[in-house]
Amino acid sequence: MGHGLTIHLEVYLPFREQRLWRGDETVPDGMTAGALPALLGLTEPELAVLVNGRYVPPETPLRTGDDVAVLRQAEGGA
Amino acid sequence: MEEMVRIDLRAGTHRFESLPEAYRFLGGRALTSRIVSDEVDPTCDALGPSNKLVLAPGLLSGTVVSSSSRISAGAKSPLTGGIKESNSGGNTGWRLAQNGLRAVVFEGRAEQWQIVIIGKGSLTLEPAGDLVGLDTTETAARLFERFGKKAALAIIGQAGEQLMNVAGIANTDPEGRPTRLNARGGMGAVMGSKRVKAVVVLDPGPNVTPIMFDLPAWRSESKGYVKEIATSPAIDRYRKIGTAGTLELVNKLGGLPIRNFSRGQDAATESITGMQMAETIKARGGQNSHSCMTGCAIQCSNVWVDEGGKEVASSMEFETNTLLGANLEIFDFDAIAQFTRNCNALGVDTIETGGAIGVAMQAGLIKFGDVEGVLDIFRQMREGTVLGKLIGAGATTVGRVLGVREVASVKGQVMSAYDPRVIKGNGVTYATSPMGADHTAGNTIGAKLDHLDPKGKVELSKEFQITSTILDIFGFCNFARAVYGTSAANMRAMFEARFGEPMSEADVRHMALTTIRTEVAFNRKAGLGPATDRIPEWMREQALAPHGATFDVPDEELDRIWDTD
Repeated sequence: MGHGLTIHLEVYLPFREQRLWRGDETVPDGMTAGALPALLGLTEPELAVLVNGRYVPPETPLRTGDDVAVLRQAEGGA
Repeated sequence: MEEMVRIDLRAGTHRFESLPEAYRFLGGRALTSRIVSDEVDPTCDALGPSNKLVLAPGLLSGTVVSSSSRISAGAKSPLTGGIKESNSGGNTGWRLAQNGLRAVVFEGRAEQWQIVIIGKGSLTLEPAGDLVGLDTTETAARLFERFGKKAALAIIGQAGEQLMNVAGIANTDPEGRPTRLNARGGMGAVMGSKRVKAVVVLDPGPNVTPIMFDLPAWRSESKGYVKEIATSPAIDRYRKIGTAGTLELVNKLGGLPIRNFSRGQDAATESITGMQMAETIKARGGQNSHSCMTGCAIQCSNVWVDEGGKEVASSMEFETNTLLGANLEIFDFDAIAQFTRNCNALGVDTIETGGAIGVAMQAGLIKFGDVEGVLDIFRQMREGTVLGKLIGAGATTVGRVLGVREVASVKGQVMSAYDPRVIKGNGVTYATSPMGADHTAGNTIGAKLDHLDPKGKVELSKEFQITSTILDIFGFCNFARAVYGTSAANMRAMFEARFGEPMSEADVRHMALTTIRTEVAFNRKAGLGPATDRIPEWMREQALAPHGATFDVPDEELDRIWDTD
């Protein structure tokens, strides 16, 4: 059993009473990009999870040191 | 009876015509592009009397069903030299369709500036004398005084009068703000070249809609679509943070234009995120949710107010915040709101104008980050100085005149807020759309996949371009794409209820592909060959930080995009 892995996390929606939360976060070993919002208690639908500035398949395991951003999916003007 | 009206501005005459059978099931972009293709010489001077300006609501426009009454403006573009369809919200499309009109065709050139007043079965030309030289805000105020606030207006500002390539056609929103633009491609310059200052579309009376073949079926099917709009989480985000929330996403992806497209990410953008905007608007008492057209339940629009709660600009959009903000290294919403207000008043495309100023900044004409310098450019555009006219010619011309190679444009039209070296699907759209670099032709940012990987991006862009074209033809806002997967059947059923003819999924796709291929054919005859379907060479050479990305979708793939269905 590992002791978890530490990622650099940014959350671009209300989280832990902040508008933009940023910091290191330790998550369980084997945590995936797709499962991360639920782990953080983020229930808003249509969230985007970027790992090192890219979309990855949701089943992608996170690795120590990854830069992970959770944002609202969005699209520009029509 | 379905009608169109044709105005001969040289003669000062008009005639209502039954819609030809061949046009019966064409609307919006399909109809403007078909008329332009059928009637305009592709080699003509875009600002000469041979060009024609066509306004057309969508096939399903004319009711208060959410976001279904967009207005298409089509012509040969003075900016790209090819065919153009520029799409807008506001109430013009709704009112035209209510008055039973599927298209308005402006031909020739008037001797004196005109106002065109359209009602049910009526059209009048009046001298526009006292409106000439006025901005869109003042023009709208005077026209509402004369024709009542229930009219819809499509007007040009000083930029359109001066035939600037950046000029759009400003349509009024439900409260009468002339802030919804057919912005891209210089359609305002074409309208100015005809010497039409304003189109006034009168209110035909309460609850007037186009004639429905099967009204109960229309009500039933449109309810299904509206329910999707009302309950979709993908739509709900627009009510919370509008389009502006796209900025933090594209910045994190590393594809946000910073400093004339020289970087893709900047920490300073945190002051102009969608979240920041929503909080500030709320704290100041502005509007975070606003409908740009009557009946719209998406409500992506907003109203920005100053610290004293006074309205400054509507609407603050992602592309505007980027091209007039981050791209100029100006990370200040109040400054961007002032720029937006100036653009709306002049009647210009915020994207092309921001792109042109960015190129001028790179040339050293003014410094990046210089808010007062930008405001002075708007003053010069109003006054028509040489510098003002240079910016008004668009980014590509600014680059040629000032010796800047790094101009992010395709077919002479500047890209919007997605750098194609990172958002490669949008790069394909920029390159292959007959419209030039226009994200609204097929915006792939909504796809949750690796945008940096060039593989599969031609197919991705193609599908987004087809869906966008379908929505443009029906008259729906591009944001209806968020529910298109579940609402496509509703939309087809609404078509059947409206016209009494079957419409299959294959029919819809065929209609979109035919439209695009018609436009490509026009461009080829206009001299825009496959070599113009390219992202600029410098974007294949100069790597963009932070990913070190270049645009690397092979040309051969771009060239084949429209070969198959």
